[in-house]
This record gives sequence, structure tokens and C-alpha cells, in this order.
Amino acid sequence: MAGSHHPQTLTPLLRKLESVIRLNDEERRAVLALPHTIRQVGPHEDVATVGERPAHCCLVLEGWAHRYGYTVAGDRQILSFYIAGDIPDLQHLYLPVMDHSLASLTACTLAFIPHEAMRALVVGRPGVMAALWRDTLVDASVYRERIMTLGRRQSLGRTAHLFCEMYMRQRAVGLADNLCCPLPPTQAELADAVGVTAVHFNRSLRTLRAQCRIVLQGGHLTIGDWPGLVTTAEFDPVYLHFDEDRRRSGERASA
Amino acid sequence: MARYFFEIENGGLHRDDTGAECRDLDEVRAIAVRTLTGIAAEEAVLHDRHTIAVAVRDAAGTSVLDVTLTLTAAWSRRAEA
Repeated sequence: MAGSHHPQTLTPLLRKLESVIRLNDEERRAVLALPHTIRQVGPHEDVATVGERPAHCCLVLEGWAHRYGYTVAGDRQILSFYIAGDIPDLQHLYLPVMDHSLASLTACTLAFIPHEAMRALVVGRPGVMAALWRDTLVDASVYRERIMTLGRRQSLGRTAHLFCEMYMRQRAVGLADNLCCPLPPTQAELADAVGVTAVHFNRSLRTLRAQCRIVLQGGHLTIGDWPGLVTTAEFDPVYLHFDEDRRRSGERASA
Repeated sequence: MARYFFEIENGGLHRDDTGAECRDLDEVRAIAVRTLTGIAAEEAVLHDRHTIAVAVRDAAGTSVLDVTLTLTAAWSRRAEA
């Protein structure tokens, strides 16, 4: 671990918080001034595992992280993906014990922010408090949407939905545009996220490609037919709760 | 761990050039069966009779396992559409 206090290091966090709520100048400065420790991790390294009591919040600055669990039989379910600006374990500010595992997916740059600094940040800053609260609520909303998707949609819809969501989430924080975005998980990892076998996932992927909806190559997603992909996915971005300005521009871009 | 290739026959042959890593033959069978039931849930719900098969080969191209799933829906009474 190495200390780093460059004033712009935490910009991804600011972008993420401001994708749901506007902060004032003092609040922005306070977010950027959060004390933190930078850690570079390789792909598939555990950051926190079930039962641990983290003392820091883990902010993703670069790369993708994921939450996962395993069944007794050894089948993995990827619960969610996290990108730059996300704090996957924010809820452990108030829930002391990890109930799932958090790991990098790709090589990642992570910033660890002490819990006491996060708690001090929100004192006297209701805007930041609201932004963090909203961030946690949106995380819950994303999980509701996943229950809907995994419970009632089939492989093709689940796959299309995941692509729509990861594009929109990256777009909201400036990591994607023009219907192209990074999508680094392997097919086996994507299959474990949508809850089908890798063989079935490959079939869905081929179907979407044959319909010219998407091309997935070299860890990069290109969407060829956004309205078609949205229809297959039954995707409505309302559950992501981006602020109204961003949602309007998202719809314009996809029209 | 070894890589196996799962070709799906569902009205047309769907070749597999990606394959899947399997711990043992039990996992090969589990993947084949789960793939068939998953595809059936997705694609067979609009048919009265539907057969889906998967042929598993090893990396040398040798046949390892064939699994076939046939779904038959027999109506007691249903007016012709």
C-alpha cells in the first residue's frame, strides 16, 4: 500500500455521486480531500471475504470488481459488477460483517477510505449524506431489477439486459459513449452473472450477434441496434435513477 | 480440468468453438443437462413437441456424451386456432 493524496485521485467518486445528485463546491472539495490509501490489485484478487469486518470503504478507481458467492456444490454466482467510481462495500459503514465476497475482476486500482473519514465527511454536509444514501438505495434498486431478470427473464433477455445496464452505467460516469463500452468479463464470468451455463450463454451471445444487436470482442461491447437490444432486454433505465438531465440525454443518444 | 465442446442440435446444428472447462465427467453431464433444460425453458414453451440434443466432444474431437431432451405437450381438449 502507498499513500496518495493527489487532489484529483478521487474524481471517479465525485463523478459517480454527481450522476445521481448535484453537490456544491464545498462538498466537492470535501469528497476529493478524503484520506485514502491506493492499492493496485491483479485480476481475481479477493478484497474482502465473508465474515470479515472491514475498516475501510473500497472505492474502484480503475478496472472492474465483482461481488460473488459459491454454492456448496461449487457453482459461482456473480452478484454484481462494479466500475470506476463505485464503492461496492459502502453498506459496511453500518453493517460491520461482510455477508458476501468482494474481489477484483480485472486488474484494478482501488482506494481505501477509512470508515471514520467517511462518517466525518457527512457530518454537516447533508448533500453528501443524501448522495451516499441514494447511492446505496440505487444499489438496492439494481438488485431488485436483477431478481426480476434472473427470476423471470430467459438467457437471451438476461444477457441483453446486462449489456444495456453496463453500457448505461459506464456512460453515466463518462466511461462509455456512442454505443461502445469496455466489457472485460470473460464469457464464463458473464454466464455466472446471468445464471446460465457458459454453453447456453454462448448461444445467447450468438443469437444477439446474428440479430446485429451487439458485437462482443476483445473485452469490448459494440451495440449495433440499441432499440432492438432494449426490446430484447425489456430494459427501462428508470431503476438506475440517473438524474433527469442525464436520462434525457441518454434517451436522445439512443433514439 | 479439461476443455469440452458442446454442440447443440435444435432445428439446426449449433457448433461450439469456445468450449467449457470441466472438473470431471459429472460436471460435463451437469453442464449438458442444464444447458438443455435452460434452452427448453427459453425456446420450447411455444411448441407441443420439441427435441433438443447436445453432443459433447473432447479437445481431440472424440465423442464423449450425447444427451437428448424431448418435451411433449398432449392436450386433452383444445379448439383449433
